[in-house]
Amino acid sequence: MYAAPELNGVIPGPLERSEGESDERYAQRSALFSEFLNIPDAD
Amino acid sequence: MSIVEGAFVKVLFPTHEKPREPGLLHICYCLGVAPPVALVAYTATTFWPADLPVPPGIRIFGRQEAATLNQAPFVLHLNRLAKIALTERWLPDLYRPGQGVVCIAPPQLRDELFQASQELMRRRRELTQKLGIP
Repeated sequence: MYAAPELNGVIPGPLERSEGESDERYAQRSALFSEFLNIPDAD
Repeated sequence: MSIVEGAFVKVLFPTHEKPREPGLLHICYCLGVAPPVALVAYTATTFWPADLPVPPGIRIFGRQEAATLNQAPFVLHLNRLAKIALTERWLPDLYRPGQGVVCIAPPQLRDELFQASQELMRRRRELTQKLGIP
């Protein structure tokens, strides 16, 4: 994962919901998004 | 158009050499936005030989499909991601009309790419060995 250094220590806000996105899909996508963000940064 | 899930947007995607700095201009696929963060996947207009197996996380867009997305043929790499800040430093057209968004993927394609991303993460979990104290 490449990561912007200015985001170090920054806690992102809630994932923006896509237009017309169901609650179930949004929940799944939020979980996946969090997992992606937890991948260690490349140095 | 704005930067949302499914947007193909112009990003200064980092390079292997400088993974934490804005790099070369690429049209990237936006997997999601959680201000001030956006998660984007790399694309390139490289040719993918027909006899080369397509690994998980790679999605090839031929001429016809790419044209419907206002692009030349390209390859999307869902296994090459960048966590970028929603700033002009990473998104050079952020404050121009359209914010550098080339097009928005239709819902069916967004779903396909979301499922492919889920599959990638599932494989990653399977390949990861966690040792030591639980």
